[in-house]
Amino acid sequence: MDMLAEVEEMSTAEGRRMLQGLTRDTLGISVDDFLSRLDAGEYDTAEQEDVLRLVMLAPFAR
Amino acid sequence: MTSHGGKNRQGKIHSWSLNGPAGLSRGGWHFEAQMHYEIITDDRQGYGPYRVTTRAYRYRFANLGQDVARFHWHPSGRSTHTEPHLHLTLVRGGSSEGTWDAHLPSPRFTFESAISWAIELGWPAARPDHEDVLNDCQQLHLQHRSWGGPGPPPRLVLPGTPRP
Repeated sequence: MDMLAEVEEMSTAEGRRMLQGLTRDTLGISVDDFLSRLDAGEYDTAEQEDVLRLVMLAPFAR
Repeated sequence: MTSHGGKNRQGKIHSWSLNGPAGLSRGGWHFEAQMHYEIITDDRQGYGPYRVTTRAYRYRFANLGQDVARFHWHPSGRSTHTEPHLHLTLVRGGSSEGTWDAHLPSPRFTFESAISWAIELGWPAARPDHEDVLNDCQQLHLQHRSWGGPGPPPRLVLPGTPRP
């Protein structure tokens, strides 16, 4: 049974570029500001689906 | 797509995301999936020396731009909802009265179980043997996971659902 899926690994630079656009569009802030606020515990991930999406993508920028 | 080092680096929380941030769209349906995970050592016979452990997950599927179901587990951060839970969009009385975003505690959902729910709700399956493929993939996870119990996540079965 063929169950193989292609899995690519993104570089941190690529991940930062991806998050930069998303954090600008979603929150109006830079990726660095987003990561700082995330690490400071400022986001309640239960409140906003868009924010939870960014939180789940955050490791791509680290 | 995984974050940097996501295939082999220990000591870091990684993320994978279905098609990067884009997810997958097909026939009016949209599916997004992300997971936080960590590569850890496991000395137990038959489990190690390395395995992957889940740290958080998010699966969302929508139809024509409208959320249908969202499966969440995000135990860290400020959220008061640290257990696995499910958001279902329920129609109030008639469609003109809007919807409820029902927040329901849930068992641990796997990626495969979220796909299974999406197919049951109408997502067009890409292959006729999708149930076998999903079950086989999920079985490996069920054999090795450390929490959530040995049984599969709840399966959604709707009467009269059109089959692909």
